[in-house]
Amino acid sequence: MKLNLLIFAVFVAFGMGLTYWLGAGGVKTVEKSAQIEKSLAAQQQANSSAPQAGQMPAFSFTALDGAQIHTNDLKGKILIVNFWATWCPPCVKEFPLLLETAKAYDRDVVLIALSSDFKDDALMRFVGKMRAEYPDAMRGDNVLIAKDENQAITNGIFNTFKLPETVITDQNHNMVNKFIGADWDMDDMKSVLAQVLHN
Amino acid sequence: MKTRLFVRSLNFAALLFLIVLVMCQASVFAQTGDVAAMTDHPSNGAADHGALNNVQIRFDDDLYKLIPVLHEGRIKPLGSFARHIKHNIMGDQDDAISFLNKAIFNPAQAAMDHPDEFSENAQVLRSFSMILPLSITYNDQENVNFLMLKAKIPEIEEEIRQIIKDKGGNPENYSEEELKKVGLGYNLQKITQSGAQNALFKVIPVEWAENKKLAAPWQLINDGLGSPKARENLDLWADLANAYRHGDHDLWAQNVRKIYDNSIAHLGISPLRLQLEIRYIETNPYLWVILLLGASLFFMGAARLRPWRGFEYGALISAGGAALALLATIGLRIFILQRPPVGTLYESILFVALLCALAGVVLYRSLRLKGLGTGVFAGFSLLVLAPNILQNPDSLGVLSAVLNTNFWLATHVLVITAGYALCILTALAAHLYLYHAGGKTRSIADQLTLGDKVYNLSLISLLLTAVGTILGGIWADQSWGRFWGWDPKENGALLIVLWLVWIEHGRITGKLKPLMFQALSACLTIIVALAWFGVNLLSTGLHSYGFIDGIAYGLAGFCTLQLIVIAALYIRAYRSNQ
Repeated sequence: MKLNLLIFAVFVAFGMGLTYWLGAGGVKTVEKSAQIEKSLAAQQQANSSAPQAGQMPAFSFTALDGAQIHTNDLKGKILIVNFWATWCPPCVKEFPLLLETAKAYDRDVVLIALSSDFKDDALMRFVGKMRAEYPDAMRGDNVLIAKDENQAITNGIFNTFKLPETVITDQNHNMVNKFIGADWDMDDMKSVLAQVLHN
Repeated sequence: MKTRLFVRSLNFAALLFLIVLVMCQASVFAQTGDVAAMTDHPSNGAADHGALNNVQIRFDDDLYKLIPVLHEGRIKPLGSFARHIKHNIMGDQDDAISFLNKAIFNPAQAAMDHPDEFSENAQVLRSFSMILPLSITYNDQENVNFLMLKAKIPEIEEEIRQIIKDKGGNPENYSEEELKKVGLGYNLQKITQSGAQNALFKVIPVEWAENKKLAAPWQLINDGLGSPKARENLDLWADLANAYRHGDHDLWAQNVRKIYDNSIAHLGISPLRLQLEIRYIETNPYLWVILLLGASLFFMGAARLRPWRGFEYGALISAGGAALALLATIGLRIFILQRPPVGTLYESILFVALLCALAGVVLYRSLRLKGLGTGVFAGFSLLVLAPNILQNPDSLGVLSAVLNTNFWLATHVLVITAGYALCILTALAAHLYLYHAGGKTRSIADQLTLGDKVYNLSLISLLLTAVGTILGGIWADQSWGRFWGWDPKENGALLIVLWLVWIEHGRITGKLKPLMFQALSACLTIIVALAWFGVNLLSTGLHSYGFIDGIAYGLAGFCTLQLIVIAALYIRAYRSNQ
């Protein structure tokens, strides 16, 4: 009988040991995981504007007004890099929201809208329409619209194919967030920008 | 004299063990090379040649095998992924890296070589279909790939719309140039469609996905997971494909190193786990254990024919070696999978075999070869039968969500499988008892010792299965919200407990004669087979992670055979005792 008890004790000890070694913490698991979640959430909150995808590669482009822009010249500003095209309905739907953001944060944010259009006239027609409908935002010098020839930046650098996509950086041009598609609203954008500005 | 004989026997057994080890190790090295020592050099493994030019260059570097892949919910080395793919498609795991390389880097050739096999498994062929060169010329540009043309798709579609508008839908009216354009548009559309759901080969580090782990190349396009870093890694894979197709091993090795370094840095994991997994699957410890247990049985047979202590010690050392190898195997699995050991049917067999081998070594002290033989035979039989019970080879799989609770796995499952092991040992010892009870030269003292051992083992079996079943109820209550649901698996566990309770009470009250108690104890093999494997055949209940099929006839045959054997042994022993 002593031997039986010894064998059973060894099994129980093995199980308990394994449990603790694997970090489950036995019956305190729920409590422990709640604590971990809490601390992770706090950490996430603190690091929310920390670089999540590394430094954005610097690139240059020619804006529609002919100005040569290099992203290094925009250091200190939050960049909203939007990849879009006039033949992409969600992109067209989302564009006014981006303009609204640029207007609301005109001191801190620069909107770079890189179009994958292959027809200049379609692009110019759309921009003309935007100028008529959102004159204040389109007049601002923090709205830069450019045609991305051969999608050299969109595909070649950012590996972006699912238009629209919007990359948001902090002031040091670390990429902190990305909206995939047009399924976002002003509150989402404000929340991301608030976190970047807070840090 | 006795000591000298013992030392000589020990040396003989140790030498034999060493020879087996060296032979196994040599065969493993001959196939794979040393992972740790050869990470920068082409291995001397099975040849994998660049398929386009027949250059005799290998593309199965050890470092390549270690590239992390996200598959079946966990990060595993590419070598392990390749074996899974090869088995799924071809039914074996030989030269899996070469097979995978051809499938992903030269899919047209792979599909031609195995048209039937790939017709049902085309996903792997399209893993990199966006970066492999297409056999077309676009705007005088050769070697274009889908990724280069992806940006042009809207423009090409617009041109095709214009052609249809101008000349209608009949291709006979189109010029050669227009036909080319329409054909290109069609092919690009086909490639897009074929890649739409492709998420098999997750090797590209991604930052935007929730888990920030690895994504399949097509997911970068379809799910918007692309980023500058992902692009860099995709280009490395494109260069790797290029190196493979042109037999350029230097370029291959450079890119393998970069891909490996990038992935490890991105995931922030230790490569040790990946290395150990490769070592584990290539060493095949399962075979080692079977060999050692087989050697132990051989020595026992030899000792029975010629009573020499050397054979006896050889049997003991082989069994101990097998137990150690099983312990190391289970320990390695815990480390690789970062979870408790008994989460799948395969692992439960490993665990039960370990306990049987250990129990054999322990029982040797009191029952000598009878005890050792019982444990070793149980472990050996289980491991030999296991491939027939399990349809798929072990893939070090992740657990169903419901099983992924460490505390309950480490208690309930370990205790209940330990109960299975003890039941099997009890049953085999009872077989032995019945056999000797029917013999002409039986020793009464030996019979009593063996009978007592069967009783003791059955008590431990009852303790473990009862506690395991109750712990299972607690686990079920926490996981599924009810303690008991008359689920087949639960009923199976209960069946063992009730059987043991019945025979223990029968023995205590004297209603069951010793011989009948032994016969009913021997029947535990049938009860355990039904509870462990049989209920899984029903494919019903909440224990769906354990469902199996295709062994119904085998199981029925086993149970029938056992009934006949036990009945025959009982009748023989009964007559002998009269």
